Amino acid sequence: LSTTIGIWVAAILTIFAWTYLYGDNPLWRIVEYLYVGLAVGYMVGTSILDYVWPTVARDIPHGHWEYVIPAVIGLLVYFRYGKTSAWLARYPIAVLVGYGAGYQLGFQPRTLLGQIAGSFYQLNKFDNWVITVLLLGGLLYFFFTLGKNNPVVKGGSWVGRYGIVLALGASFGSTLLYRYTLFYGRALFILRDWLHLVH
Amino acid sequence: VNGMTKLAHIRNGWIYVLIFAVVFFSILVPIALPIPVQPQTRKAFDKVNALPAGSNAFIWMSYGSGATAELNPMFDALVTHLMERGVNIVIASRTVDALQVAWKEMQTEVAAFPDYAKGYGSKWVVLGWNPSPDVAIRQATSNIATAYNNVDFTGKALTDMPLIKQAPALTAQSYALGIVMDDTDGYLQWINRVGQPENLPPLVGAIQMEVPVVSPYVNTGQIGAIIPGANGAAQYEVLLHHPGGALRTQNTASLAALLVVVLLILGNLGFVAERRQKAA
Repeated sequence: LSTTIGIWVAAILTIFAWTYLYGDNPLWRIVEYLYVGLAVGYMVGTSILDYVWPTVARDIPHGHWEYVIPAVIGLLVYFRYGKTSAWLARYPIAVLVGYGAGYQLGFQPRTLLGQIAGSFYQLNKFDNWVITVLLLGGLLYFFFTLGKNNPVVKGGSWVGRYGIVLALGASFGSTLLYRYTLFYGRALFILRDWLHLVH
Repeated sequence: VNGMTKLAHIRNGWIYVLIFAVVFFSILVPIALPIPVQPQTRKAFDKVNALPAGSNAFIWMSYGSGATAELNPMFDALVTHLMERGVNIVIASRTVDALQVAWKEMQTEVAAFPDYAKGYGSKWVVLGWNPSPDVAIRQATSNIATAYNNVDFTGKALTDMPLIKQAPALTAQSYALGIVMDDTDGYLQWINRVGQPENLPPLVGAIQMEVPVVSPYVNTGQIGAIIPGANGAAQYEVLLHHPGGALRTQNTASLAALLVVVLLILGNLGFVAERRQKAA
């Protein structure tokens, strides 16, 4: 058995988390609240130590007065707690949404155009034929202008439906294996780091 | 037929017991299954293998602590390979917990490489945390120290570090390779903000679940190469002749896949039997 307190705590909390398989219970709740609290606390602490404090204590007093403007805009978000001043909290949200939209419009189209251009294959290989047929079928499945009675749309949709199901199946299979790996990680921790049954 | 219909309604509890048994058994009784190397992992390996000594690689950790079982062995294999090649390593993070993960893993991995064990700041650096990581990675293309508020993971000034002085911006001129260790859409953020503007398509270490979504970007060249999930990491370890954590996960993955196939067959047999019973 391990003699490290941290490993004991982690192992016991892992087993508490597994009790959720039996149903919602107080042991699971302890883990849930601890996890959320620790995650938020760690993120807030790291953000203050690595980012906010160096900006306030180092950069602003050394002449970077322009940083005061975003700081003030950011602080406006706390006005949402006042009944008459809540409207002020909309300004930082507006800045964030506007910035996000601009950023996405600036960078995202090039990536998507690359994907569209990459969907046109030379039909010189069987694989490329499969991709092209399933791509067109998938598009026709979501094509509603001509209605599903049109024979081309109907046939294409049928092919597209199977293509979509195959893709979802591949994703589901991959998800399942990924979840197994997550469980494997905790099981290995219990057997190796806590119980010392394997090396 | 009556007995067969029960197969369609196996209680969840029994399935959990089976999963526990399979996973614990696979760890306690390892089976050395052959791992065939796929072309995509070979391509990723060759990319790292082609890096000249003294060049720089930038690793972006885009995963939470939940994905460590799958991505830590991959990270370990990649940094081991980079250090074997004599490549300098700069690490930034998209998630606050991965920063801690990177630091902890590097402490272990550098122990086998004296140059790196003594060379923090000149051979490798873990950057500090920026609460807007997607914005920071774009800003890093102009100036890494500014993007990460001039602090590394330990709070030291980045501008004092020889590696950051030598490669101050995340550009193709300064960095021979960008690597994204990813469990969500970090690869997409990299393509948008660094890959296409700076002509630095990443090598993506992806979790298994993400592989079908990431693969189209490999086909278009927007991603340079991919290591697909824990299986890809195991293949990488085979190529590196450095067996590690990833090879071990493949026991579990193979037995788990077998269990799923058995449960699928049993469930479907039960479903067919139930339908026949209703029809009769």
